[in-house]
Amino acid sequence: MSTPAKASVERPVVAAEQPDEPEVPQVPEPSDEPAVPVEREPAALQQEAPAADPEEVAIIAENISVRFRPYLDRSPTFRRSMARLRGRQAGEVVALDNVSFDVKRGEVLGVVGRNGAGKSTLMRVLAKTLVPDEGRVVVNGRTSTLLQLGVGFNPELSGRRNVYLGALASGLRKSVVDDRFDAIVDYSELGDAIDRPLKTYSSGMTSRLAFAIGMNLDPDILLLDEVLAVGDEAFRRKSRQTMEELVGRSGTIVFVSHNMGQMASFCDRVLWIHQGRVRRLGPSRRVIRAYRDSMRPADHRRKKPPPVTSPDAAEPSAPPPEAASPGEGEPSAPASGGGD
Amino acid sequence: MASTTLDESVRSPAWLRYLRQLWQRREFAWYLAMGKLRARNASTALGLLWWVINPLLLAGIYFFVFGVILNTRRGDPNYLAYLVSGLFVFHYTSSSMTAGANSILSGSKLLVNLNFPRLILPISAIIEAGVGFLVSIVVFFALIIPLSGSAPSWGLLLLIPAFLLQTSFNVGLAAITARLAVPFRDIDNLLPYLLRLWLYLSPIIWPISTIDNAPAWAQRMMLANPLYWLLEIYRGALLGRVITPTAWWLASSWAIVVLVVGVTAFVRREGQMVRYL
Repeated sequence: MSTPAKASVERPVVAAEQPDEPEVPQVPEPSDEPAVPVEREPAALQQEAPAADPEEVAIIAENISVRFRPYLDRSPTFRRSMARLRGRQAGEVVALDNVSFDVKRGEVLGVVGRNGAGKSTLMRVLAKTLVPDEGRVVVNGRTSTLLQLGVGFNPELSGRRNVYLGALASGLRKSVVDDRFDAIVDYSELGDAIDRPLKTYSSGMTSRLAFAIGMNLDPDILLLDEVLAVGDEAFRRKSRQTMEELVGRSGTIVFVSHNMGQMASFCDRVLWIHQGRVRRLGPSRRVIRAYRDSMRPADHRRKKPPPVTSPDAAEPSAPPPEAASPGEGEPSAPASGGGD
Repeated sequence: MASTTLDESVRSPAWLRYLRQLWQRREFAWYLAMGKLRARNASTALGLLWWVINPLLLAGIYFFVFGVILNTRRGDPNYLAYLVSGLFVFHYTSSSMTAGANSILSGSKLLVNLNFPRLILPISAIIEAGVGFLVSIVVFFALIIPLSGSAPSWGLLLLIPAFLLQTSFNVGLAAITARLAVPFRDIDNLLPYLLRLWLYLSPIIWPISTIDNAPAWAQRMMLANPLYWLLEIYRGALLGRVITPTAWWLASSWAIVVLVVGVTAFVRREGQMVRYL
């Protein structure tokens, strides 16, 4: 976009549609994880009734499915087309399975889930860098995306040139970037380091720069994937304040984090993704409590250690540190990987 | 970072919208290409000159082997200019294809994070290669023309349409290699061999008159090579040789068809590219 448009109420709706097959994706039996009792929400709760006024909705995600075909996509075309003829392909990995939700203007939606649950894939779909196999995303406004893997675009180039790359790729004119450059550097508090190659930055510095760029694109919608986990205390407070300002002027934030304390205090609602499906969507504290309960290993719940030879002893992986201290404010350990 | 909403986009056809987005990002394409050129200039002592040195070194070897030892030149006094011009032109196309194949993989961080028309990446690879090619043309005038004794003329203006045709041809090819290289990384390994083959099959090392002695089927094969016609136009412009009307319209047709096919194939799959990174 060439103009630094402020968040405005009237924005055209652009839909990324994937018209392929309108058939309803099959929902496999959720029987695969014995350690976690599967409590499906009623369908009505998963797919919140869409808000009456479309102007009030920032993001609509409808029946999104993403499947990866890690083996077949690399095999010869002939074999692949034969597989297509036979219908559903073998070796498919379902990253997202019929995920639907919407986010209202001025709302903060948190996304939680285990590593590999599909959170990062979901964020890429919302950012429209990945077109889903099925379903539809409507994003109503200008989006800034700060995804974990994409922080810093070219490590060989200076911070300065990375600012330009990111802003120009987002559609800003060069003259506009020139005007905003100082503000971006000021916000990032990088000072002279801005002319050093990005590869010399610490992860905290990189994410500060990425956040500064993202916020200076005047987003209506901010998509964050674990970016702020590495910032220091002062910058985290500052970025939090900036995000609250964004929400204050009816901006929208979707963010992925493994920091449950931050989640509970900042989000209006939380979406829990489990194995590519919506496990729960609702008020943040309630969903987070359920999510944490599910992460506790089976023996905590049963108050009796299972025999080592039992089949489910291998199943539940070790609980992340947060699970041991529910309700604690800011557990600093950022769990690894956005998982996709 | 920003995915954008375009005004009046709902009404216009998708390909027009795409072109508009491309145009909107023109500064991005330029910035990306200049950044790569600058990085290369900074990291190698000779920088941009490698664009010239590489084909010149090849020209030296070929001149010795084919011009001196095997004497394929057949007494052509302009063989050196013929050889060097051919190699420069070929180098533009071959480096476009190689850079195109790498463009998506090397821009993966941008792709994952930002929503922009992906065609920007192969296009910026072409900008980079095109700047190198223009430098090599300047060197051609400074070095080769005096050596070969031919004088520049108004025919040189024909370089402009020749360059435009080859550039659009190269954009199409780069889009194809970029499209293929994302799921099939083997392209990186295969490409040098294909390009070597193409080099030998094009009238670059061997004088164009050699073809008269070839069997009919081989002649037909030579004429099916788009570079054959592009080279005829370039050499007409640089060395004052005859350019047949056939060359013009065949080169134009190739340029347009390859551009359209390549870009279409690329754009149709660009929403899926992030899956492979």
